[in-house]
Amino acid sequence: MASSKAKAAGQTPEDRRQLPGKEQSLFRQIVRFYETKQYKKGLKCAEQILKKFPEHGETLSMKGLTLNCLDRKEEAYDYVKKGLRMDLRSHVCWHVFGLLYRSDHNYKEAIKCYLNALRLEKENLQILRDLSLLQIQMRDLNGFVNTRRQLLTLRPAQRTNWIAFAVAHHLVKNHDMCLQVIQAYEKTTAKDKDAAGGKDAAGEGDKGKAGGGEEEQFQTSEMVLYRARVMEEGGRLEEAIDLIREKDDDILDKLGAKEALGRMFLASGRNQEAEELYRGLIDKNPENTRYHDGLFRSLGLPALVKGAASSHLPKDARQKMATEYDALRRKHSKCVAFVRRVIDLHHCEDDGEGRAFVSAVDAYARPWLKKGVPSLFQSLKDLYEKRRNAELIEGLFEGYESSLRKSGTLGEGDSAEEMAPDVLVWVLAFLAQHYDRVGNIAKALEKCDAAIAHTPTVIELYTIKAKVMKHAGNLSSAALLSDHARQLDLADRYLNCHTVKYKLRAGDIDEANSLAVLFTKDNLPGNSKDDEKKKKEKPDPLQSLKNLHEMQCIWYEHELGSAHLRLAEKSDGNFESVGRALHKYRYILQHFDDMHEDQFDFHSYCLRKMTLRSYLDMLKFEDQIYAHPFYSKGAWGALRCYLRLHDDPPAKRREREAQEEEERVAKMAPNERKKYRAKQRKLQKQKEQAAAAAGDHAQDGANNSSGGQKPKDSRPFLVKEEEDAEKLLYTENPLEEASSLLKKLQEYQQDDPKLETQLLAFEWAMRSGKLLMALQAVRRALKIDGDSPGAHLCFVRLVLKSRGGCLEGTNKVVAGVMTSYIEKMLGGRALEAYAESYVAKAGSKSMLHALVGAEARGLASSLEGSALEDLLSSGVVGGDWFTEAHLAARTTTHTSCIEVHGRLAGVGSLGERWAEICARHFPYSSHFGGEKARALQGDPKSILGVQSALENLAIQ
Amino acid sequence: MKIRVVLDSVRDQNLKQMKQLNAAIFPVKYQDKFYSDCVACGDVTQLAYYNDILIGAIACRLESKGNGKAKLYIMTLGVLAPYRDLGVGTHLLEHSLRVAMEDPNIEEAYLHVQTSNDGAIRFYDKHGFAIKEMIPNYYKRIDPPDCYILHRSLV
Repeated sequence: MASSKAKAAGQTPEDRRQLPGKEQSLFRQIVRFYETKQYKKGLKCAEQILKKFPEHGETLSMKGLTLNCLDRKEEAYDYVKKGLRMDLRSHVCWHVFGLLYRSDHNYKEAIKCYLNALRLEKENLQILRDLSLLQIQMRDLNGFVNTRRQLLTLRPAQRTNWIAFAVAHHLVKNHDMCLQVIQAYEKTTAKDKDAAGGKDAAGEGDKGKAGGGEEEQFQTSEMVLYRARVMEEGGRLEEAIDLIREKDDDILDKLGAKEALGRMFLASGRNQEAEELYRGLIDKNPENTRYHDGLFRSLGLPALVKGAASSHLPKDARQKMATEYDALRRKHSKCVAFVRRVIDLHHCEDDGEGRAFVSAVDAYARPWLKKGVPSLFQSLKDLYEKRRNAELIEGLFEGYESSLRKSGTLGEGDSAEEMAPDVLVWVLAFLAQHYDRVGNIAKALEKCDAAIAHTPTVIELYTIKAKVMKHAGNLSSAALLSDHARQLDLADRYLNCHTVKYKLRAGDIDEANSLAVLFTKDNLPGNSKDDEKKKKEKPDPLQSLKNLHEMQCIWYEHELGSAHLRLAEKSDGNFESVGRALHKYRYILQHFDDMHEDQFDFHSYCLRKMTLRSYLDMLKFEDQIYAHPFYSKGAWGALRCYLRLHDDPPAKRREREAQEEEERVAKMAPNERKKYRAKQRKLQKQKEQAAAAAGDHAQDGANNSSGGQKPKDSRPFLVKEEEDAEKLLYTENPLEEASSLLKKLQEYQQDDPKLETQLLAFEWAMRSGKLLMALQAVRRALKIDGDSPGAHLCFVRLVLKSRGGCLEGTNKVVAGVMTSYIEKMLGGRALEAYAESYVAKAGSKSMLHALVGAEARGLASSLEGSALEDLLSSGVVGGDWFTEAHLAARTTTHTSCIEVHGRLAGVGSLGERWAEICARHFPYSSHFGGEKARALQGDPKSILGVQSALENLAIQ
Repeated sequence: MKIRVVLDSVRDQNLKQMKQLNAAIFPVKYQDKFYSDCVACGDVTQLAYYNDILIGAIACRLESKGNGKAKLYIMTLGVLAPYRDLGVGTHLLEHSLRVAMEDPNIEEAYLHVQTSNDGAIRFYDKHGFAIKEMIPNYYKRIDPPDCYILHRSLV
């Protein structure tokens, strides 16, 4: 080092960078080998140069970059950093450092490196282009505008540069500038075309023309629609409308153009034109309900929002809409959407008997029953928000059943058409789902069985019954029924997934996995050319579970994670399951990171292909991807695991168990101890052998892989999974991990905050000693649902905590905020009185409201023992929670009963009393040991019905 | 009233449906051999679907007569109770007989029927079958235990 420094003295860095001719050409070769992915050759060249010039910065960097591609990460970073140290003023070194960060998806650092590189080499197109991609990926929009401006200045002849510059302005909401850029560009091309008469005008643009007019036509069309959209977003509606109309000949996406026009007509109050347009769109596709809404708005009527059940709409508005639909139906007799939406327009309260509502449902249901559409109930489920609706639907379908049984028709009068025999099955199937929805499990099962007795070959009947049994609290029967359905059609992927889910719910993880692999790529017939060979290669079919992961099968991973977490939560559960659960939940989170990452390639692709509108839609989608319900589910699961790991750290648990073991052994008689130790040793040996076998497998893989690269990880998938899961178990700081997850959730759920997130944030904050965050969580939770039992309990806990002296010594501002919020909530009352008022206000809403209300009340006056027992006994256990209203509103379900049971356990004999009550109401419940559940235990298959009576008869 | 029936062959994937159907129709539980014969004998065994629901099936087996000739044995033909008298059985039987007649080596068809099953005897009579003989004590656990052999020539 010292000698080379002496040699280098007196040289400028530029001199040192300059290599002699031979090495220069070698260096160029490294770059070429890198670009053509011949990394090993590149590495050799680099080493040749370094032999003579060991401190040549750019070569060191390139060597690092090449090593990175050979999976030698650590060395890669070493060399790249060393190279940079040797030649800080080389843009190549900075660029390479940026590339390295980029390959690890560390875009933030990569951007910094690129900016440094650009400082040294202002006009390097490659670096500018790379930088612009990173900036848009990271949504550094202002940086993106700047970079695109430089690119355009350097290469104004390239169309992409103009487009990208325009899009950049659009993204920072500078709509006028965006439009100006487009206009300027179009002027230049128009001029070129005129001047050259079509000969070599704008380079690329012309190539498109020669290669295929279609592409250019598409680009012209897309440009018009994109401009119109920018105008629309910039509030220049009239201009946008004129543009679309004027350029109608150029537009290929006529439908998209019409939809845009419709939006803009409505927004600018040109209702007459809007009406005409939407009527046209409805004629094109009557099933698209967005067109219906457009039409209604153009008529000055409010839009029907799905789910809100139109309950807020005044009667006359609804009547007008119904009349409109009547007219439309005459025109489009086959349209389903009209008929379905008319139901939403008739309220059961409109006339005394709800006749209009019933006849609307009747008109909708009949054709579906005749066709035998299994999803009929699914499409009417929204109506069940109102109890009265459910009653009317029940009456209608019960009427169908008795009329079919009596006369084989769906009703008297002119509609007395004779029905095919299967219609009765679909009516019964509907009724089964109906009774299940309103919590009448006995009736639901009765209808299921009647339907199965009628036509035992309808597969859906078994999945419906499985669902009923799930709600009845017997998950193993549910899984059995689902599996029966699956066996009736082994080629049906949906049924296979259904069974996997039900097996996981029943806690049968191994069985679920062995079914889950059946429909993976490796195991589907036709996907493998040589089945025999495959079988030999893969001794373990479960290896294919990897495929489910690669396919980002999120529902499966979520169910699997939850199954593991349930195992961990059992009193006799295995705490290692927390690691497994966490591992699966983190897979889900990782999928979302991957999906976010996936947009990277589209930044250059979409701009080049000019699919601008879809590109912007995609950016919007990616901006909200972490708000997806499945991300929340995965994150909540992971948070629960982290909290568990914090509350009961496995490392300490191991210690404790070892200690207990020692004590136990110490108490044993000598010969007993000897036997015990021998057994332990044997177990240990078996374990080691298993681990060694797994290791061998990895060794095989290592031998196969060619030198230079790191050996590929070839441990069996499940072994690897198990190891990763165990590592997670010993997560060093679970609360820190939880914190970053919570931050992301809070950020992305801003527009649509979720109670669950707030409750978990509260638990996290209480454990981390962050009172202000706990306060914030409670506040948000109560804002989402003021009566939420969880939020209420959190508030009471927070008040007690703040009174426990933890406010002393904290920041005065924090203490001030805390006390003022608490004062405001209590409104001058004592905490006891506040808790009392909650019970009075919300205590009758559901068993959980009552239970948590009483618990909070008990906490507030620090009740214990029999006093607490009395409170819970009168308020919860003695309550009348099994009324029709509670069951139908789903405030009483088997799941909520279990939750209550869990919280009552340990309070005197309340747990047992509660279990007795629940067993009476849920006779199939295996949790509460209901009477019918016990019978099923002896003969599980009897739930499938039908066959069992004949089981013993056999001839031939 | 007639209903539109679609036929399908038996495969491993839908075999269980046929088992479910037979369990509901016949007071007999068939052994696995019966079903593997069904899958092996091809198009003479058929499932009848209405609205995607399996409502009936015919199961036949080809038996060698030794001289390169064969006969068609109808093992079962059944339709779920609610779907009877709608022409499904005829549809199934005609299909199997047509398939058999396309093969000149298949010369006759026959089956066993419980002597008390007047409906079935009438049904087969309509399709050209006649009683050939009676076998006493053919069935073990149902009453009456006797059966007829019904027979029809296919040439």
